Amino acid sequence: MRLSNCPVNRNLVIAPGYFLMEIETPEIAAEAQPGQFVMIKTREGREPLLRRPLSLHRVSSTSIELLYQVIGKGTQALSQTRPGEFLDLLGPLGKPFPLPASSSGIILLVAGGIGIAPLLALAEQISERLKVKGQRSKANLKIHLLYGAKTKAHLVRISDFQKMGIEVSTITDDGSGGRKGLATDLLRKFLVSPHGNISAAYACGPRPMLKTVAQLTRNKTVPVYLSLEEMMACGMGACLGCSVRARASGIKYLRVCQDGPVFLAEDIILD
Amino acid sequence: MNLKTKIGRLVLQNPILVASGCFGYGEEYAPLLDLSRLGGVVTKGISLKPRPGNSPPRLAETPAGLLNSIGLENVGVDRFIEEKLPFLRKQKACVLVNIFGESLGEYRKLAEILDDIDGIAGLEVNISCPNVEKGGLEFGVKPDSTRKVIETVRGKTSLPVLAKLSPNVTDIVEIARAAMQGGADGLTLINTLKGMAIDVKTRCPKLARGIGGLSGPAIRPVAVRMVYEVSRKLAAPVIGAGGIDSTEAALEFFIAGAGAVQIGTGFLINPRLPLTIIPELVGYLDNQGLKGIESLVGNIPADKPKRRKK
Ligand SMILES: Cc1cc2nc3c(=O)[nH]c(=O)nc-3n(C[C@H](O)[C@H](O)[C@H](O)COP(=O)(O)OP(=O)(O)OC[C@H]3O[C@@H](n4cnc5c(N)ncnc54)[C@H](O)[C@@H]3O)c2cc1C
Ligand SMILES: Cc1cc2nc3c(=O)[nH]c(=O)nc-3n(C[C@H](O)[C@H](O)[C@H](O)COP(=O)(O)O)c2cc1C
Ligand code: FES
Repeated sequence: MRLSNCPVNRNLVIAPGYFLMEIETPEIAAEAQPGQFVMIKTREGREPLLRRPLSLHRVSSTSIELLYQVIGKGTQALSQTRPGEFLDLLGPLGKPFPLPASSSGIILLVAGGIGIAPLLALAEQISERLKVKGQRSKANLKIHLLYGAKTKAHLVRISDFQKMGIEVSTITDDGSGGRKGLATDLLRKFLVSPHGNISAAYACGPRPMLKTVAQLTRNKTVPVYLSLEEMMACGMGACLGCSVRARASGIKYLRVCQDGPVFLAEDIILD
Repeated sequence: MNLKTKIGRLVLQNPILVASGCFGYGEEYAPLLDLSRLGGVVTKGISLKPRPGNSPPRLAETPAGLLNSIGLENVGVDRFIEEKLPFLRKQKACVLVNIFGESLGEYRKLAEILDDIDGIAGLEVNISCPNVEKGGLEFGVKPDSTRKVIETVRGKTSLPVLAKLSPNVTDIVEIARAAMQGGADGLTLINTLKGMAIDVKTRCPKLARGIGGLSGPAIRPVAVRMVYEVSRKLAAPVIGAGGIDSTEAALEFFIAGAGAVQIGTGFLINPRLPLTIIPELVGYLDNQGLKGIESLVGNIPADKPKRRKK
């Protein structure tokens, strides 16, 4: 984990309110694993005061990519950053996505809105690993992305998934791209007729979506990983501000920043 | 330059500390900074038994401020001694243990247990947490109970004892006096101010507990004023805290009368802040023609503004 001031290479609008930012940071990139995140000081000074957590969207040898949605002050400030300007980064933080144990069956990725961000890095890592293992295992393992967004324009990066041979099903709130509905509707349908054995599932999106994913997969014996969001101050496990309730006897909390942000659905209670 | 400072019997190699609750137990930060170079570190509030803390959300950002309602989640004193303290000892950090009890008996027990333990430089008695149902702030808002808690702890330990006071009181000097009468070596001023933030979309509070404690630059003027009043009226040794996010902010506290300062929220945002302040502090003292930090403490030439020479 590093704390460093890094130059922005690119910062582009790729959908209404969605930005793709590339930051040159060899040290952080060298340690970064899909599922982890960075804490960014989006602007110097006291407004906003805290750093903002953003997932690794893509990791290359000397840089990282972030995909973010403009929500409020912090992401607004970030969207105004120009190439060549520097940003203060702390990272990589948190625990990465555990990779699927089996090299056969179906790996499900479930994304809601900007929740697509960490799943590209994960998909690239899994595909890369299969390439190393050779064609045979590639044929046995299929990745399927179930992706819901507000409108067709908010469905981003689809061709990047398809390039890796990943099957993509889409759905939108307004019916402008694919069916009308939510990512969890795609999941419900998929679970009824799964076209094969599911070996693991990974989901990222709004809290209500994650709750539904956990409910729908409750009876599955395969690991279901959820990538969570919570307000954060330190991102390092020190302030105990980013808690999520653990599924344990008695009341116990886990830190999203340090024990997560990726959790097994069965280990936590989402309210 | 001499940065050594004394808070009663507590001797610190320099006056820059990290505040309770903003440092965890140090493991997370050791890769980023050499803990032995800090004036000291204050642990998360430790209670007799482990506490799970409050339900989330526990944080909300406000203008130049941070609201929290952690609720003193901690591992309890036994696990602290077994699992957390050895690491801090190995890092050669100067460790102040922040203690919290729901009753006088719990404060007494904590003081007793920690008195025998190696690697502790002092106790900071938290009678000012706004985020718990029992204990905490209850003790710290009245002079009588303040004195009693400090007397109780004092009676059971030979370590230096600091009383960490709440700004949520009408007269801070009265409470500070009671803590000193109870036998405190010094005072930590201030803990968080009670506050609230509302999400106007949902019309509900942003924190699950509704009310929380405000920290960060937003509270600094309140903290500086309290340090000033207490050190003026009582000549008590004070550690200042509240919204320090720069060298200039720290200097305000020294000049107001603090012999040392703690950085909380500013450290959460920038863990390197303490170690950037130390050399800048040396530069400032040099510039002002002062020989050491102790000659800056409470060194206010006049109690009214003076026009700068540009
Ligand atoms: C581990 C982690 C990874 C993340 N990765 C990404 C990512 O890759 N891309 C991305 O676009 N976003 C991501 N987020 C969410 C992102 O951090 C927030 O959207 C951002 O902090 C908002 O900051 P802001 O200043 O723009 O908005 P604010 O002004 O802080 O907030 C505006 C409104 O949004 C709400 N809000 C703020 N933060 C969050 C949050 N974390 N969850 C839910 N509601 C929130 C606030 O309550 C407020 O009402 C991630 C969050 C976490 C914890
Ligand atoms: C997340 C958080 C947790 C805290 N936990 C404690 C605690 O356990 N015990 C305590 O005495 N003070 C606690 N505090 C108060 C700080 O130690 C400090 O007094 C206060 O935040 C003001 O300083 P600052 O503005 O630099 O943060 C906490 C503050 C924050 C922000
Ligand atoms: S954000 Fe501080 S512990 Fe997670």
